[in-house]
Amino acid sequence: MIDRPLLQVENLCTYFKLPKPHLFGKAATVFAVDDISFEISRGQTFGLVGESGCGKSTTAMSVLRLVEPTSGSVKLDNQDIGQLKADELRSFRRHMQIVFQDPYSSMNPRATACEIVEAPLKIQRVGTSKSRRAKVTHLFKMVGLRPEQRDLFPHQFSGGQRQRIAIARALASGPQFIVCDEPVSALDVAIQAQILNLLRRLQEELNLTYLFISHDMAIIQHMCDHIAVMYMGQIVETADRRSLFLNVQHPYTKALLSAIPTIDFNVKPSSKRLEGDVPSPMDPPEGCRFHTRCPMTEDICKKETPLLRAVKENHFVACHLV
Amino acid sequence: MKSKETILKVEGLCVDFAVRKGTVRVLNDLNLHLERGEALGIVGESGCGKSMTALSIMRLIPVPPGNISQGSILLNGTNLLALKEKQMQDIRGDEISMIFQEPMTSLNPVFTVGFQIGENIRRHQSASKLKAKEKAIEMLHLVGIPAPQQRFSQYPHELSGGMRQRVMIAMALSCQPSILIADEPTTALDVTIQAQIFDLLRDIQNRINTAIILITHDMGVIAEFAKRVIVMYAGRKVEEGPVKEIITHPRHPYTRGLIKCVPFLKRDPGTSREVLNEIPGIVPNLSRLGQGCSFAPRCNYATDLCRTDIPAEKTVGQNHQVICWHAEEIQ
Repeated sequence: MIDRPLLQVENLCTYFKLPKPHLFGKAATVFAVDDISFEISRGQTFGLVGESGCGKSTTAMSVLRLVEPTSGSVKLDNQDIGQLKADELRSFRRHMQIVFQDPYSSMNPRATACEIVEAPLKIQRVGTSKSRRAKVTHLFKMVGLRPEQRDLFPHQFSGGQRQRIAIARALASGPQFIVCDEPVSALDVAIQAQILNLLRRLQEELNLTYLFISHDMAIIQHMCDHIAVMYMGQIVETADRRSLFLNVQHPYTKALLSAIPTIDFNVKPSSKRLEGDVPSPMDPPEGCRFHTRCPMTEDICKKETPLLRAVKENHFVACHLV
Repeated sequence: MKSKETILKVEGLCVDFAVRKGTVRVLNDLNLHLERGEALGIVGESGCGKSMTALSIMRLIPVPPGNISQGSILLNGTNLLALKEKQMQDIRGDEISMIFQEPMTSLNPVFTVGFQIGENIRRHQSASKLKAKEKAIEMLHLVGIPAPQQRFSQYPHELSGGMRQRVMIAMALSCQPSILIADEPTTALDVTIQAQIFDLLRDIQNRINTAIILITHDMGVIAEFAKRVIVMYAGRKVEEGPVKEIITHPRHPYTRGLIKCVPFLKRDPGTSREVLNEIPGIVPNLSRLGQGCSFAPRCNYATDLCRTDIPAEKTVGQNHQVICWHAEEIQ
């Protein structure tokens, strides 16, 4: 059998129409995700990295259909998610789950840890109340929580423990695919390591497939097998882990890497800095969206939008000049 | 060689906060010093007391519930703790300035950024409105804001996050303070903007010879920016020394853990996947600290001595101090 990717995203677009500024005004559109395609093989981690507002979270939400995409298709295990009716979608959600950035705001403060982890099982009508309780105990052990903590409320846990609850909740329905949307950004550095190690261990044990979103290149490098760099709603460079870092091509990826503080004293800090801010996503620049900040802009960049093309096997770049 | 002049000296500082059940000591016997024009980093996890240190120096701790119960803070020989609030107001923004993590919440949304920068200049240099405006525009220019004349009359919501932080820096530096305290100045910003802000701070430090205390949780930021670093844990200093030495040869088990638990970018990531080092457990609750070293419950090197007695400060290298019973064993 040919190994088909577990998740296939094709030409995904998600636009948000903003309300009209006044009665006769023109409604602006935010091009949050603009024509992106990628695939994730079973058991792999695919990383999306970029600055805030680049559309990485909207991509995740669109993939899970938590936000309705404007166009394009998302297939999980060859099932087109966009075609599912509301009740079918709910039942299908057992296969795809999400872990959010801030565990505290993604939990009902009035539910106990046990109720939170049990909720997906209840919604999916799995088992009896007794078997569900047993499953919760099992999940607690899996993510490193003590079963006697089951009746505590979210505020009684530390940030790291809360993220463990969120992971247990995501695992409850037995998904194959989990979106991790900045899962450690809200945590202290010492706790980040615990959660990242936990995610990796669970992936190996359960053969999970992750879509991993982060703004932190170092965490992306540590966690992912395949990486896509996003800028203003589009993928500007995508490659497997080793190829991307050994052979950085796109000027934006280069800038992003050189901006990261490092403790390696052998690396000289680069003097090239990106200037200015990210342009408004309501009015993206013509041509290459990066040309307003790019250190090597030429005329063609201002006119034509570069398409992703292969520079090596499994390494794609959207830039006219590489 | 440049003569080193200590401009700030904090000695035996203890800060308590009243909580429902008694008091919690958030800073315990803290000593630090700062030389003119120096870049000092303070690093630690949330709740370790790094922000409290900054707020104590600025005398911005809310009293009550807070209370600076012991110690002294000497700025050029003057004890700030003995000053009246009115005298302290003359120092804040003039001799010592501070920038905060989230620029939007520290700017006033109903005044233009120019007015807010000018306010500081008018207050401390009794400058006229016109003079203050000129100076404010000059400051906006200095921090690299394009078209400063137009920006002068804009409101904070009209600026991006990076621009707002530049405005905060312009405000903090408008009276050429001898000390600038930057409390997580880039945590709310993207990495490319973070790099711009640090370039700016470095440039300004060279130009007006301001000493900077940089507070952060990110060792990478410390390595890039600071020359000397203080590592804090649970309200105490655990290690202090030159950045390069601390990062390459940490002697306190906590510093070691802090450096090793973060993935750092590699030029060649290779194909193997390693497991990150963890510091087991979590930061202790400050109201339930036991006797002895507060890191002992999470420490692999802990012995009975660590659990009963607080370690004394040891010098292990040039300007390198560590507060640990087992520093000799950790190489």
